[in-house]
Amino acid sequence: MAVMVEGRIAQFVILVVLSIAVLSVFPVYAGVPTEPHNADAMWIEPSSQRIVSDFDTIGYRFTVTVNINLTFTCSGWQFKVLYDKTHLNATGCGYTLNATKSQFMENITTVARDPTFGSYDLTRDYVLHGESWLSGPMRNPGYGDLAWVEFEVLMVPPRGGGEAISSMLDISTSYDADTYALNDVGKHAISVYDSTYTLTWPVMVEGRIAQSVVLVVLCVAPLYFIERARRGKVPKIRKLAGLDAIEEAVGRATEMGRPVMASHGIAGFEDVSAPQTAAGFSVLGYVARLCAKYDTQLLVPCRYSALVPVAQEIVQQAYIAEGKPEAYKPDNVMFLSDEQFAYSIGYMGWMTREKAAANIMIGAYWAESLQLAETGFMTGAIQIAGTANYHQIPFFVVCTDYCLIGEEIFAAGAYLSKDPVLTGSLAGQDVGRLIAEILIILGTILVTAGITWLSDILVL
Amino acid sequence: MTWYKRREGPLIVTIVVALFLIFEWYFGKGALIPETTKASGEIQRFVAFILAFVIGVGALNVLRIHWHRIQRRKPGDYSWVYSSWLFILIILFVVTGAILGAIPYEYDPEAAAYVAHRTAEPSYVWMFDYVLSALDATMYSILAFFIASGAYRAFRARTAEAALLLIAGTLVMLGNAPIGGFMWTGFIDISTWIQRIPMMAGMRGILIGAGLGAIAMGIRILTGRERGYLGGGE
Repeated sequence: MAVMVEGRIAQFVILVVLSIAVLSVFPVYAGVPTEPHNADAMWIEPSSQRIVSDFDTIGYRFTVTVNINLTFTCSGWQFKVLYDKTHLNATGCGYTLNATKSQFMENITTVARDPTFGSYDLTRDYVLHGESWLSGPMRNPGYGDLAWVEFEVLMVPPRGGGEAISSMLDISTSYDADTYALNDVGKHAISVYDSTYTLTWPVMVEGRIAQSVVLVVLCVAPLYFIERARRGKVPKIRKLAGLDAIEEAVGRATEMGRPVMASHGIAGFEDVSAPQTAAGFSVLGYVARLCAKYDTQLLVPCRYSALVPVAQEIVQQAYIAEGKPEAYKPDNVMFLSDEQFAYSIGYMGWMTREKAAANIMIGAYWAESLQLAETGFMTGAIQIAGTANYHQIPFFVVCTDYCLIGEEIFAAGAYLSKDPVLTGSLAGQDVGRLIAEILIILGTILVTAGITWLSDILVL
Repeated sequence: MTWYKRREGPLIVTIVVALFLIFEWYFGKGALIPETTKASGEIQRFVAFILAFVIGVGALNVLRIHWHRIQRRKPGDYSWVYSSWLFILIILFVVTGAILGAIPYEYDPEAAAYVAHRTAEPSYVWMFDYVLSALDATMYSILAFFIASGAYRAFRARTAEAALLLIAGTLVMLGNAPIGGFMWTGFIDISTWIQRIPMMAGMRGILIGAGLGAIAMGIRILTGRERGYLGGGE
């Protein structure tokens, strides 16, 4: 048995090593493309490019390089690039080696010129640049970069329907008159090649492709487990002491004849903390039902006025569900302030005045978390808190009786509902966690080995 | 149940808007249909309108509750005084911000007319800067004392975990406090290591878990399973 296991481990290691080796081959071929042209020629690189529009593509800048390859001795060169002025604007032009010399004319004594920008006709502008031999030996036959030209995007195609804007960076129209290469006596015939560009919208926003794939996988997993649970295969989930203690906390408050405070955090429904607020509301509904059941007063402080009607509705529904609609008091769901610390002091004051016997805080909390938890401790309340804001978790861990950490608050609704189908969705989270763990381990190994294909894929 | 009280309505709105915004996030504004760019802008404007409107709802909620407190005042219970003070301050802010701020006061040479200060009305700004902001800062600074009392309880080494917390907390404090580095520069390195390696690892673990939990919750909401935010129940 042990031999077989060892054999499998060896097989697995070989498989992983081979997989990494095979996959690592792909980036080797991903070199920078060069576009050599037969002499005698002047051309623009890249010869064609697709500029993928995004939200901020107007104003996006890109650079092209003008190159040359000659079989004769060269005493100078000049080019005039024409471009559609409704699409682009030339924002800069310069030699490729330094401010006064091109890489092609390196080691040759030349006269530097300033680039010229101007209007060619009604639709086109131009960029003119050149360089002349001054003294000493001329440039021997060969190839090299002459100058760079920077363009700014002025226009993007309309969205939808896959429309694109396409045009040329044109040096052929001005050939011979303004685009030329000089030999020792004058202009020498050369071939000139334009560059084309296309402005188009991406199928997906760049940088979010891998995200979307991961999201789809993470969505499919819970849906699969929900379906599985429907068929009766309900996964077992571990006990969450904090959520189990809610009934005990409400029971204690009932015995003491003091109220329960339940808050859903200080975030709203319109930002990334919204899931935490939703989780807080799920717990609020459960707490409200318990309070209604045991005839215990429930106090709900709200930071956002937008959430007051939601919290009132949740509490009212809970009282109706328990058959005690008359026991519901809308005044017990109170908007305190949308100022963080005004809310905090209001909460602390209310808790102290009413001598709350239980303080349940599930949602997004920031700096006020410690103030609230410490005040709860001072009033002698049994405290159950939970947040996914990692920077506040230590405060809750220290100052409360039970603390739900991170994802546990999102499981609260499913956990408390005892709904087997909802419980199934929690198992789906574990698939996501497994994927994350595999990616972390694999990513760590690959990056340590200097292989970046996985991180390259993930930033797509 | 009447149609407008049924849960299906809000659920459908939630699902449609959520799918629309998810699609827009990945495919960009108006990716396939240009008109959706306009629709997206309209949705965001709706949110702004609703939020602006519900500020009034919140204010009414507060005023109603405190009005009841003033009405029900009992002998020996002076909490109604605070409620009255709240009324006075709300009126004061409304008068300075909405009324005084709307009066054309200062001559603007560019506009060639007298213009209103609006939220820059001096008395409004004074109250904001020297009362509200000062109180806000005071509340924030109280946190230092809460941290001290919380740390006192946390650092009682009754269990192995608490002892570990005590040791780690002490080392981080010594690393961050000037006296720690003065005593031994190694405290700074240890503190930095604790914060960069084990703390960062734990923090990222929590972040990944929370992210996955939020996604799973989002799916439950989108599929109409999680209804807690609608008042719970069926």
